[in-house]
Amino acid sequence: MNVRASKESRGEATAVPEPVPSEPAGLELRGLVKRFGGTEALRGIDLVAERGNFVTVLGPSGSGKTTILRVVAGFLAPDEGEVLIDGRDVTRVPPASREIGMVFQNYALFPHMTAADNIAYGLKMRRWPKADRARRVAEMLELVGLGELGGRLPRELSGGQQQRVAVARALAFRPHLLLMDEPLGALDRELRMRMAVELRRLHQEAAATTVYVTHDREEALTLSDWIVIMHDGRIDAVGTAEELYTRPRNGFVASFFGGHNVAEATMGGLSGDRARVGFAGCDMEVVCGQPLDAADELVDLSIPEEALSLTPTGAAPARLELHVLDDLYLGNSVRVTVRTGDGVTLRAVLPRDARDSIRHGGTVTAYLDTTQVAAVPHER
Amino acid sequence: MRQMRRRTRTRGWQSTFSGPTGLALIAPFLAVAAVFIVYPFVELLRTAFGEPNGFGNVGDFLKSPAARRTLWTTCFTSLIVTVIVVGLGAVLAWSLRTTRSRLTRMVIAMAVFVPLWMGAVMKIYAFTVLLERFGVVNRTLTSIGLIDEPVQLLRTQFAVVAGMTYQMLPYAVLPMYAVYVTIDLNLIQAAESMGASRVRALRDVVTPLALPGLLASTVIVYVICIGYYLTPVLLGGATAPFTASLIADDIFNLFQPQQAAVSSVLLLIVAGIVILGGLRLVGRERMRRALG
Amino acid sequence: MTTDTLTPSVPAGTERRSVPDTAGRRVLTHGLRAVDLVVRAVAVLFLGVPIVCVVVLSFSNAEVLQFPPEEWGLRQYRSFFGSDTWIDAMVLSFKLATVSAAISLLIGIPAVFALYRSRLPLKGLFQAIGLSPLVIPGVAYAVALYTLFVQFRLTSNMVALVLTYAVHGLPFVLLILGSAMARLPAETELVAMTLGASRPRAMVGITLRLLLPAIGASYIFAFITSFDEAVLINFLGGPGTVTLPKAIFDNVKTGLDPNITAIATLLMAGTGVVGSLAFMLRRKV
Repeated sequence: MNVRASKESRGEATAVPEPVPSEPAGLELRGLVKRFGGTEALRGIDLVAERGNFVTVLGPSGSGKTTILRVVAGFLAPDEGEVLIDGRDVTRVPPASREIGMVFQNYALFPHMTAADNIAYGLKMRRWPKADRARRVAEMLELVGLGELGGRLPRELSGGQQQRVAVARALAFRPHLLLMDEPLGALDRELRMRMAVELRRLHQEAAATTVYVTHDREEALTLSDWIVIMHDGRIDAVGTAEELYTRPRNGFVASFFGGHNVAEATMGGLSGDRARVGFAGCDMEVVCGQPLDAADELVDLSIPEEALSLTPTGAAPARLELHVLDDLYLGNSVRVTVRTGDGVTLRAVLPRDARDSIRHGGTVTAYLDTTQVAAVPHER
Repeated sequence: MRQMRRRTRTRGWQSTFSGPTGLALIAPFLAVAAVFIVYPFVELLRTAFGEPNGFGNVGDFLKSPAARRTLWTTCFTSLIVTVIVVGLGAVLAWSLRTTRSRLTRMVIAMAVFVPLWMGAVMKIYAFTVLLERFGVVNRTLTSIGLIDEPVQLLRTQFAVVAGMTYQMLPYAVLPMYAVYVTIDLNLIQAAESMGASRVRALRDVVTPLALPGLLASTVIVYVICIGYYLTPVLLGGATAPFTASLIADDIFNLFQPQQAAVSSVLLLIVAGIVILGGLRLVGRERMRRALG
Repeated sequence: MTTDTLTPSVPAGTERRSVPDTAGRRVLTHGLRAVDLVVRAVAVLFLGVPIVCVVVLSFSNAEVLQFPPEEWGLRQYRSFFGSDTWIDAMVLSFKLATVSAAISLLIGIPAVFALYRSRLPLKGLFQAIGLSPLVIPGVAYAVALYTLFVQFRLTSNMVALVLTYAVHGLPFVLLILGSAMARLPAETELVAMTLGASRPRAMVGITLRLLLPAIGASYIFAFITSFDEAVLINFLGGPGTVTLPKAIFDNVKTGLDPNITAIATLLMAGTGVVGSLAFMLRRKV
């Protein structure tokens, strides 16, 4: 298979993918099951990632996200199911022949090789002629902004620079697929956000299908075309950041990905993809995160922290009397914890000028923008 | 979505070898270990528990008061040496860990390392030179008038204890230092900030953290001590002979390898009990680390 | 934002109290410091004096040992280098150690790969057997080997002696190489595999390459161990096999040749250099 063929044959990386029937997916997972001893780390994973897409696998630790990556790379073999890269079944193919670039959290740079030699390693394994190799290494060093530092050993580079070398090394031989396992986890917060933007740029230039594993929601938001949310060995939801944020499928996605409040409400009836619900003494109509059963008595509401405000906003604001439990001044906003009349605790972020109207221990009248609220199945 | 499920290869391409490959890799090791470690001990046991009386050999051996005394001397002297070595070693290693003076660090490091560079017999030679009748110690003591006549230092219990301590001390300091390195020194300051005195902080914080490692070192030091051959044979006297001297006698002078085997087995039993006790107390990993 | 001042109520008996700065407390702290200093000084002197004595005496020109030396010079060194007995013993020790340490590596390196990088069962047992020469009472081990050597008439057999020494050096290979192997990040090998290296290639090109310093260090340790070995040789060597430690052992038994001060000084310097090298290698990756 020609490594370089994939580059020309793919479209705009940022575009929302329109599956072209003739073109195989960049990565396809079919029914992956992986057991360790008695426990199932993966319980049937099906996933299709179009070529050139940036897919982030997001989940808490132990959700199986790293296991997926290791199965795709070939370090672990699935007990059931297949892995297809660009339409080729690689389930039984050794990692060396899968044409994947991989970036580990600890970078795993070869400590005895210079940055340039690290980047050249994959090219050497593919027997690139020396001149081509040198040109490609220089190009990669330039791309990651380390033009002058090719002769340094890893220990002579900062954490961020090591990270760039690791990415350059993984991309140098133009892999079909780039796998990254929490590559920013070892960096401090500020550098992490800078590198995330950098990774996004590198992905667009390299144009390889990318699977990125993280537990950091901000990284996922910054980077991804598609976000896959893992929970307990299963895929809980797949969607763009926007979809997952505004219409979470269930309570886990709402709280883990969106950071939203999840609160119980009574079901008043369904019409299409909208539900009538009763919450905190108000009747409201909200969108459904997934098709609900009209026979359910209870639903959960996903309420974003910024859906509450002191002035009415949105098409149908609901008026709530709230008891203020706690407040935290954050400079340009105020984070408050409030309780509704029927005892539900909510977190909310209000603009800075709300400071004057809020008193610790007092009550406040606030409005809930019901267009931001979504109904999800009730979980107990 | 298609649901195609079938059995596939259950192991991934890890960087590990399969069991059979591992066996092939370790085969030469197993071969020499079988011939030069396992088999000799099987033979040793067979000799010790063979002719004339089987397991009764040990009882017969222990009937002799001289043999009993030798075993006691070996175990007791080794205990004294172990206590001294662990005590001094713990202090030296702690100094090495905590001192902020470069000079102190250098002096202690040199004192610990340089004896390691001297072979075992050389050390005994040095002690002979120091302790003989007209040796360095006696001359110094007479010249400063502390004693009138040279005293008998060589071929005494004292010489053995000094020699063995000298052999063991550097070997004990290194693993102890390694144990201390794992202790965060800020913990002491934390304890002191909460009102503990230095002594109290050491007792409440450092001791519990270091104890398992130090215990492992103690066990190893003791086991090596009871097996010492050179020091008791060359520095020890006839008044309180070591098992090692008895064994040398049995083999080289009396040609009674069976008696030597019984003595050896008794040492093995003592060592085995001590090591098993150590494993019980601190576990395998710590014992391994105490080896260096 | 809320300006209420905090006035926490304090339960009875938990009022703020300071730690008393009693005299006893101070005596204890200073006493500890004094004891510490004395112990350190005694230990350092105890460790240092024998070495200083040997080195000083090696530069004495007297024919018998006397301290302090009356005449300084290089006599001990000259007569050591002029003595066939000492030189032969040294050469024999050197040869034995060179070969046996190499065999330790040859056996030990694959064994360490098997112990740390394979799905071999009974790893713990094999490891324990390999390390056992370190914790078995030395004299008991010597007697055990003696029974083997007598049974198969191996006394004075060089091959058997070299192999025995190789086994004697093995624990160092297992310990040093094993801990280096455990410290290697497993991901480097995995990454090499994704970059297109086959498993053997990743193993040799990355892992073995990264272990080189540790391999050097374990060779040096195994070499020094064999070179200094003085117990087994007494039981296994036979009359013809006189290594340097054996020669010194015999000499200490019968009398004290002042030449040994020169040998000891030279060997200490030599061991110091290679020993420090081994230590540096162990720290390197």
